[in-house]
Amino acid sequence: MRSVIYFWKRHKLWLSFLVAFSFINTVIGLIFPYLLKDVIDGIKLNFARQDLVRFVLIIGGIGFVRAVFNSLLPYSRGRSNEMYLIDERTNLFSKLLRKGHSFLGRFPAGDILQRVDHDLNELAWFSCSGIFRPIEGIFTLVIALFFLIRINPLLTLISALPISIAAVGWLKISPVMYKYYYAWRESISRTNNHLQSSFSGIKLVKSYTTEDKTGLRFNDMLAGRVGASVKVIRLEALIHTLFTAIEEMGVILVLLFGGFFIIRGNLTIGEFVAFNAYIILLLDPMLRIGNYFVSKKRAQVQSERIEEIKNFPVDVADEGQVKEADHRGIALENVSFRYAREGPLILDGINIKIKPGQKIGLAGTVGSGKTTLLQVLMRVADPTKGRVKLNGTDMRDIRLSELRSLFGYIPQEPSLFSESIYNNITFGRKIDTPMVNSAIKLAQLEGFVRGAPKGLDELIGERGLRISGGEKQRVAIARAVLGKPKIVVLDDATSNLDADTEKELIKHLSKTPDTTIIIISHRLSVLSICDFIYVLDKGKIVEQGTHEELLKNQGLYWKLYQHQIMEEELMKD
Amino acid sequence: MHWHWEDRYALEDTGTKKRNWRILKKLLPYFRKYLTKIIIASFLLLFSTLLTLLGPILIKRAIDIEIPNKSAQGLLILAGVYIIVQIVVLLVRYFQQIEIMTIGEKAIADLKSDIFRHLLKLPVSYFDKHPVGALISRVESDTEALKFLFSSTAVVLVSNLALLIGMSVVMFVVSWRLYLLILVMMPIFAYSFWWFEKHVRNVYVNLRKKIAEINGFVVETVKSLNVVQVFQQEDNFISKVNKLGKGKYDYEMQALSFWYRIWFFVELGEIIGIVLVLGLGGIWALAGLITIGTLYLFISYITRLFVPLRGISDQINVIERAFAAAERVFQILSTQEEFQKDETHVLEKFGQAIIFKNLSFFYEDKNWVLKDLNFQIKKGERIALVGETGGGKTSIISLLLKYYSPQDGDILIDGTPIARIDRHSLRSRIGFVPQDVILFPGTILDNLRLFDATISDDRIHTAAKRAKIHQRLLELPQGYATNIIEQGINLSFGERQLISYTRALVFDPEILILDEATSSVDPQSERLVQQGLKELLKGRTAIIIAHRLTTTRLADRVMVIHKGRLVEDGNHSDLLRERGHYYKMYRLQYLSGVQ
Repeated sequence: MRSVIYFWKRHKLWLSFLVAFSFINTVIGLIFPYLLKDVIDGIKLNFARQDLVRFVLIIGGIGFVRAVFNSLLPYSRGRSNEMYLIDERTNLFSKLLRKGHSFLGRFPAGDILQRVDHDLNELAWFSCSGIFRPIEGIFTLVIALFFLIRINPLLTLISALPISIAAVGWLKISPVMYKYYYAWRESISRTNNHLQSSFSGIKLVKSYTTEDKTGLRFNDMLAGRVGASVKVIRLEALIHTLFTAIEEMGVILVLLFGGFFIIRGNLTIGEFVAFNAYIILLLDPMLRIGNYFVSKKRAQVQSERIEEIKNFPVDVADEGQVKEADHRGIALENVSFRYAREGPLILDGINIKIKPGQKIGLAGTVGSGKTTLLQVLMRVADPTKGRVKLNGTDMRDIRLSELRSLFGYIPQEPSLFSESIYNNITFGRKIDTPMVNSAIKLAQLEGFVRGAPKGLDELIGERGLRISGGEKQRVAIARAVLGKPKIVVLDDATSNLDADTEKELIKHLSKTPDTTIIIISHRLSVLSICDFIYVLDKGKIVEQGTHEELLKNQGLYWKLYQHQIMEEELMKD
Repeated sequence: MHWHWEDRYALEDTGTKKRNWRILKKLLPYFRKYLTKIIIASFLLLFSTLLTLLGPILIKRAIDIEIPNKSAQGLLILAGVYIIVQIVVLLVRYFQQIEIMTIGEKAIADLKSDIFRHLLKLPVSYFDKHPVGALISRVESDTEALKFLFSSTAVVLVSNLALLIGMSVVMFVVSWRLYLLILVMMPIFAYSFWWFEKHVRNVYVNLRKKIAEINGFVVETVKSLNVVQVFQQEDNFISKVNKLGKGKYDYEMQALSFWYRIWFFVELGEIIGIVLVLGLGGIWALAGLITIGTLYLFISYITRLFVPLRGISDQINVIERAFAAAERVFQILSTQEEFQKDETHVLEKFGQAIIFKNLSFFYEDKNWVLKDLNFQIKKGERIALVGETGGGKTSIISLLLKYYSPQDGDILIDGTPIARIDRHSLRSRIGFVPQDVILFPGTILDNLRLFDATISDDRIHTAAKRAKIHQRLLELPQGYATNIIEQGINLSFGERQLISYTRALVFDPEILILDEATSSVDPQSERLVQQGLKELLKGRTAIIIAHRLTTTRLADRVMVIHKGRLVEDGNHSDLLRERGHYYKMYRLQYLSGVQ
C-alpha cells in the first residue's frame, strides 16, 4: 500500500483534480432529479410554454456536461491506473535487477512473473479505480441525502432506513462469503494438481492402463468442485436478492408514504418523482463502500507480495567509494561462501592470486564450486568470509560500476534476448561498427551472420530465428569481448562447440597479451593453454599448477583427465 | 508494412463469424442435457425481466389516478401489488440465477471431463510436443472463459433484449407519440455499437501482444540476471521495461478512448432522450395530450434503456476471448487418439519371449535413435540396459510399451507382432516404474492402487510390507489415508522411490520395466531402495535402465546400448572380462566413485 500512497504524494495535483472532478460530477448527476421536480411541478401548475422550454434547455445543457464528465471520469481513472502501473512496474523491475542468488533461490521465475504481471495489475486497478469508487459512493450518499432532506426530512428518514440495514448486512455476510470462496478456490487447485500429475505422469497412467480410472477420478473432483461453486452461486444469488429487496423496499416506502404526504398536501408530485429517483441511487454507494473493504484486503495481500520482492535484501551492496578502473592484480584471501545461512560451504578457504595478462584455468567435478568462485570474483556475490581484493583494495570498497566494467562475462547458458543479433552483441552499449565487426570475427560468427536472411538485424529467440547452441554461445562470446574488457571470464562457455573449434577460439582470445582470461571448461585439454590451473573439490583448492605439472602429479586433475579421455573414447563408435 | 497488418485483420474478421458458428454448434451438445431446465430458466428470466417493467407503471398509476383522487386505499392497494410483484420477481430471479449458473458449472465440468479424458487417450508424442502448463490451461482457463459466455454473456444479452422489447411495447402502448421520438435514435445507436465493436477488437489484440512482450522480457531478464549485472545493463533494462510499458499504455489509452467515446455516446443518447421527452412531452402534457404519470414512466424507462446498452458493450471483449479459447479446446477434442487399427490380439499371458527384430526408430526428421536392433528376452530373464544418456535405452522401453511405433522392423511378443496386440492387454502385463515418482493429489491408498477401488487394502498393505515402507506409511498423520500433496508431507527421495515400487508390487505385473532414478541418495536409503528393488524383481521378467553397478549385478544379462545400437550383451562378469565398452563404463563409474 505504501507505493500507492507514494504515488499519490507525487501526483498531488492530479489527485486533487480527480477528487474535485468526482465531486463535481456527482453533484451534476444528482441535480437532475431536483430539476425534474421543478419541471413536473411546473407542468402540474400549468406554467408558460417558454418556462418549460427554458427548463428543458437547462436540463439539456447540464445533461451534456454530465455526459462529458461521466465518460471522462472513468477515462481519467483508467489513465491513472495505467500511470501507476508503468511507474510501479519500472520501479519494481529496477529493484529486481539488483537482486542476487539468494533472491533467485527463493523465488522461481514463474512466481516473479505472477507478481509483476497479475498482482501488479490488480494493485494498479485498486490504486485509483478501487479508491475512487467508494469516494464517489460517499459523495453520492452525502449529496443525495442532502437533496432528500431538503425536499422532505421525514420521508427521507422513513425511506432511507432499510438501506442502512444493507450496510450492516454486508458486514455480516462477507466472512461467510470468504469461507465459501476459499473452499471453492481449494477445489480448483485440487483439480489442477490432478491435471498436473496426470499430464506429467502420462506414461505411468498409460502403462498401468488407468486412463479410465484417472478420468473418473477427475470427474469425482469436478463434482466436488461443482458442489463448492454452487454454494458460492447460491450465496451470491441470496446476497443479490436481499440487496435488491432492500432497494425496492425504499421505493415502496416512498410510493406509500410519499403518496400519503401528497394527499395531505405535504409533498408535491414533482418532489415525489424526485424522491423516487434519489432513493434508488442510495444502494449502489453502500455496496461500493462495502466492496471497498473487500478489495482493499485483496490489494493489501497483493501489495505485500510485491513489497516482498522489492524489500528482499540484495546480495551485493553498491556502497564502495573507491574508483578503480584498472586491473593490476586480483587476490582472493581465505574466501568462503555459502548460499544459505545454514547451508553447506560451497567455497572453503580459497586463496588465489591473479596477475594482469594471466590465463587462469579452473577445474573440478560438477558442484565443486567453480561457478560460485567466478561469481565471487566478479562480485555478483559477496564471500561469506574472507576478502576479494582488486589492486589491494577490498572489492566491497570499490564502486560497483567501475569494478564490473573490467569484466567480460560469458555464462554457461548464453542468456540471449529476443532481439536482433546486433542488439544482442552490442547489448545496450554504443559502440561503432568496426569494433562490432572485429568482435564478430573473434567469435567466429561471420559465417552465421552471412547466412542469416537479414544479417545482423535478424531476430533471435522465441519469436525469431532458431539458432543452435553453439551459435548462441558464439553470440555470447562476441557480446563479452566487444568492449575489450580487461578480464574475460568463460564459465564453460564453449561446451556446445566441438573440441577443435573451442581450442582455436580460446587460442584466438588469449592472443591479446594484456587481457586476463579465467576459464572453466569441461574439456580439460582446453586448459592446457593456461598459465596456471586451480583444481577444486568440495569448495577447496586441492591442487594447483600448470597442465603438465598437474598431469605429472597423478592427482585429482589427472583422474578427471583420464575420466574425460575414457568418456570421449566411449562416445566414439 | 502497415497494409500487411490491416490485411491480416481483414482476413481474421471474415474468418471469425464462420468460426463462431462452428464453435457454437460444437458447444450445443453440452447443454442439450439441460435443455428443459434451460428453457424453463430462460422463461423465468424473461418473465422476471418483464415484471420489473411493472414498477414504473404502478407509480404512473399512483401519480395519475390514486393521488389526484386522494385515495389512501388505492395507494395501499398499489403498494400491496408492488410488494407482491417484487417478491415474485426476486424469488423467480433467485431461482433462475442459481439454475443458470449451476447449469453452466455442470456443463463446463462435463466439457472439462471430456477434454481431460480425451487427452489421456492421445499418443505420448502429443505430450512431447505440448508442455504440461499449456495443457492445463486448455482444460482449466479456456473452458472457464466458455462458462462466462453462457452464464454471464448469454444472460445479459437475453435479459437486455427482453428489456428493450418489453419497454418498447409498454412505451408504445402508453404513448406512441413519445415512443416514436425515442425510436428515431435507435439506428444511430446500432451503428455506433457496430463501429465500436469493430475497432476495439483490434486494439485488444494488440494489447494482448504487448502484455505478452512485457512478460517475456521480464522472464528473460530474471533468467539472465547475472549477465545483465556484469554488463551493467541495469539502466538500459529499466528504460526498456519503461518503454515496453509505455507501448502497452498507448494501446490501453487507445482502448480507453474508444470506451470513452461509447460511454459518451450512451450518456448523450440518454440526455437527448430526456430532453425530447421532457420538452415535447411537457408541451403535450401542458396541452393535456399526455399525463404527468406518462412523463414519469418515460423518463424512468429511458434511464433503464441505457443500462442494457452499456451491458452489451461490456461483453464484447469477453465474447471475443471466449471464442478464441473455445477454438483451442475443440482443437484438442478433434485430435486423433492413439493408433488402434489391427489390434486384434489380446495378450492374456506372457508365455515365452520378447523379440526385437531388425528394429529401427526415430522421433522426427529421420534422426535415427535406434538402428537395426536385434535381441531376445526370455521369460524370467532380468535385463539391465546400460549406456550413455541419449543412447536409446528409453526409446527401447517406450517402444515395448507401445508409446510409439517403430518405422522399421518389429517387436514380437510370444511370436505376435506388437502392432497386432491390443495395447491395453499388453500394458496390463507390464508394470512400469518411471524415473520420476509421480504422485497424485489424494490419499496414499489412492496413489498405490491408482484409483482402482477393486484393489483391496490388504493387498496394498502386503505390498508395502514387502517394500519395507509399511511402517513409515502407518506413522504418517492419517496412515494410509494421508493426503501427501495437500497436507504438504515431506517424504524423502528414497521413500518416494519405495512408494513407486510398492505401486508396481500392488499391480503384480508379469513383466517389469524400470527406469532407475539417477540421483543418488544417502547410503542408508540407497540400501533400502536396493532391497525394495530385489523384492520387486522376484519372479518377474524385468528390463531395467540401470545407472548403478549394484543394479547391473542383479541382472542376468547386461545389454550395452550405444548410439542406438546394441554393442555388447552378456552377464556382468563376462562383459568385464571382455574389456569392451562395458568395462570402460565400469572403470569410469569407478573413477567417479573415487572422486
